[in-house]
Amino acid sequence: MNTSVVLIFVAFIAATLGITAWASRRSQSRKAYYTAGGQITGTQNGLALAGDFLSAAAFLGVPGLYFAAGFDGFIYGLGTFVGWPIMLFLTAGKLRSLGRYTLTDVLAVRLKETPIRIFAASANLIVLLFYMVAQMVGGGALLKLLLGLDFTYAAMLVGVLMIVYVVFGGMLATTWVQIVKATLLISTALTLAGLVLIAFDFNLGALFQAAIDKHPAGAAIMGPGNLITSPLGAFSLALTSALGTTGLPHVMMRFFTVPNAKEANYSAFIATALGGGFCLVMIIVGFGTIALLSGNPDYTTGPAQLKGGGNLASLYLADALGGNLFLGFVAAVAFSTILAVVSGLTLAAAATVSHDLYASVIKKGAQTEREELWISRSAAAVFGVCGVGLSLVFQHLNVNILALFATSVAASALFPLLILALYWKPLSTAGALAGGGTGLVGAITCLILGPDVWVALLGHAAPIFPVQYPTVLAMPFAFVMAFAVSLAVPDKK
Amino acid sequence: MHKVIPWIAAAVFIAMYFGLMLGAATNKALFTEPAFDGGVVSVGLLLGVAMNVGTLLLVGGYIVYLNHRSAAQDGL
Repeated sequence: MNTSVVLIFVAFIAATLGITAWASRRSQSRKAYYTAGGQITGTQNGLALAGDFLSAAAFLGVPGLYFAAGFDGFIYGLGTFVGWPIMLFLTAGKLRSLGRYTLTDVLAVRLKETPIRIFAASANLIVLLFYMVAQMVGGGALLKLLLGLDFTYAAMLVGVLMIVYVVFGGMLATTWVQIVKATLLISTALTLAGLVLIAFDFNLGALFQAAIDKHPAGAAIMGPGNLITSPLGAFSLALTSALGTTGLPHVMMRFFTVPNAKEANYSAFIATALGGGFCLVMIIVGFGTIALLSGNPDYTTGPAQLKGGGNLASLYLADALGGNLFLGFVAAVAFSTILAVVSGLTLAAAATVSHDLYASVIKKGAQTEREELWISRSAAAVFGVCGVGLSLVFQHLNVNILALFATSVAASALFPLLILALYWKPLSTAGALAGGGTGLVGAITCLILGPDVWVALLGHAAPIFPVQYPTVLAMPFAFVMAFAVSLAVPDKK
Repeated sequence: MHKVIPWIAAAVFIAMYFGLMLGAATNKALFTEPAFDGGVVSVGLLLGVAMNVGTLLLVGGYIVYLNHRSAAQDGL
């Protein structure tokens, strides 16, 4: 076990627990617990939003894709920020003006509260749980590799920390942990890019040429490869990346932490700017991994093959350029990334259970604030334990399938409801349930019949649904059903 | 007019992003060619960076528009 890595890990955990202790004294009311009292500034929320999507996949997965295939890594990396402009243009300000604590609040403003809350809460929990398991499986594997921890203990460590952050610190602690992590992650990426540029005397042409010379695919790494195989697949990937983010409950909840719609818009702008800038910086880091790691037996097992898998590309680059101490720092940042994201997911799930289901559906608003907070904290603990348990069950499953499931359901079931609730007055409760239900069932069915589950997991020769991302079919069906049923069965005035 | 502007901005962004993705899927050879004679930067990478920078300019312009509109409403 690397001592410097462990020391930096311990320092990071101590700092975040300090933030939680500070936040817990300010999170005694319902509004403070769910939305940090609505007092987060646009810039702070922009950093936290960016942190939600500058996840382990962006920092560990994307450089690995660059290392394996070059340009494909860039196309995949675009997914880290293309959801934000749509959010800025169409939803952020309106969402803040209409909602209070959760995404479901916005739907309940216009539609019959009980049925829409039950449906939206169920869809939210499905999305959050699968997103959580994907993060936990990735995080556990990372800790196992870096610290030599057994997967079970690694997942339990992540689970205990996230429960502590959420139960005691609420949204304030979760937001500040995310802000600290986003700042560290962006600084680390900039430092890595700077070190790569220094190694090539700030000559980008020389960097790309070195990558072409060292990669087995040669000049082909400068163009599209295997990630985009068909126009339909590309269209579906683009739909999922650009619109799925707008259906993610833990992301939408952050817009309620700022004081008004203007700050909500500004935070979406900051998130877009940071995500877009990060994507550009990763071009240098990504091609740097090819140019500096290829052929080095300390890091590779063969052409375009890294020891321990592609997810370690940025960590190996840190070791090659900055030595053991920098490796420890980058590893701690990667760990903080996972912790911050799972904390946000747990809080969103806790709010869904306590606010959308317990307070609004079961108690119909007759609960005390203390009762609701107790339910919320209990739900956070239960959700965290479920996340750890499911990550142990699914630890050998492809993380991509789990993340794909969550984003596709968000894009197909929740995005259509949200956009129609905000912009289409005739939307009725029956239409929303029919549209959302069609999107949910359609996404799950197409995913099971698609190449990731039907072929890769179940071993069939060819997929029944040919595209990896089901959004291309499920989302249009959801819109059509919502339109048709709303017109056929309008809500009574 | 103000109701249409967010949709125009969203349409411009979608055209840029989906154009890049569909271009990469349908014209791999063109996307792999060097963008400049004797250079190594490909057409695909150049278009990708242009799309990225174009998006940043678009959202920056949109925020300036929102602030301008907000200031105008405050002045009424």
